[in-house]
Amino acid sequence: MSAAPDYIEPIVGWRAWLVVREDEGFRLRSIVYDAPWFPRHELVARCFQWRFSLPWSKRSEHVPPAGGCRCGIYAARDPKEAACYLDGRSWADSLSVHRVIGTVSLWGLVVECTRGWRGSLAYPRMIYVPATRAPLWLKAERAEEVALGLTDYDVPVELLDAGSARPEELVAALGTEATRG
Amino acid sequence: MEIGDPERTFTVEPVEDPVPRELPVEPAEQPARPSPAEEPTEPERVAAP
Repeated sequence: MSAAPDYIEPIVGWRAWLVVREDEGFRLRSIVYDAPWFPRHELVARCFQWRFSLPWSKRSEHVPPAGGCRCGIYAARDPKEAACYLDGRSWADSLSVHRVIGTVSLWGLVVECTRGWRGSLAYPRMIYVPATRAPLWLKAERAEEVALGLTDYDVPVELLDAGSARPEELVAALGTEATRG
Repeated sequence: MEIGDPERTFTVEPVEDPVPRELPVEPAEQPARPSPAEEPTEPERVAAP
């Protein structure tokens, strides 16, 4: 018999995603590691630290997230932490058509950290699509088209019109959205 | 993403599934068929007395 869980509501935090156009439509991917997020399926954490470490610094194989590792699916308490990832380079800049921010549900095994959480299972909870993009990612797709495509995830998707692609202005616009909601 | 140092570990089992899963497709309704016992059978011919 398994032990009773500590909580029965998912942890909700903030994160950013890449948006990639695939045959099936627009799909979310993690910004730091190559992890596709599929509609209607939870993302299951894997430990890349263990796999990619040098032999002499290799950690023992473990179930993610482990307190002594950096593995797990990340979410921040403060949207500002996540918004930093709307800017900057990623492994998949050539593939991505946009970057979005939103809330994510974490559950399963969760490591609580001082400014966020690392979970073993995750699914988007709310997706905000910035209406304006930084020039680096400008492609043919319009933000409205991206927002419509992301409704495949069957969670609320909103266009975030901050008048700018700058992370701090997007976070300010998120605050406005929250008070409006 | 920078989320600071680990403080504690716990388990979460949501009562409500956070994933909006695909509902199983119900099979198209078939017209009801009588059970073999109820199926009409040809009346048996018997020789006239």
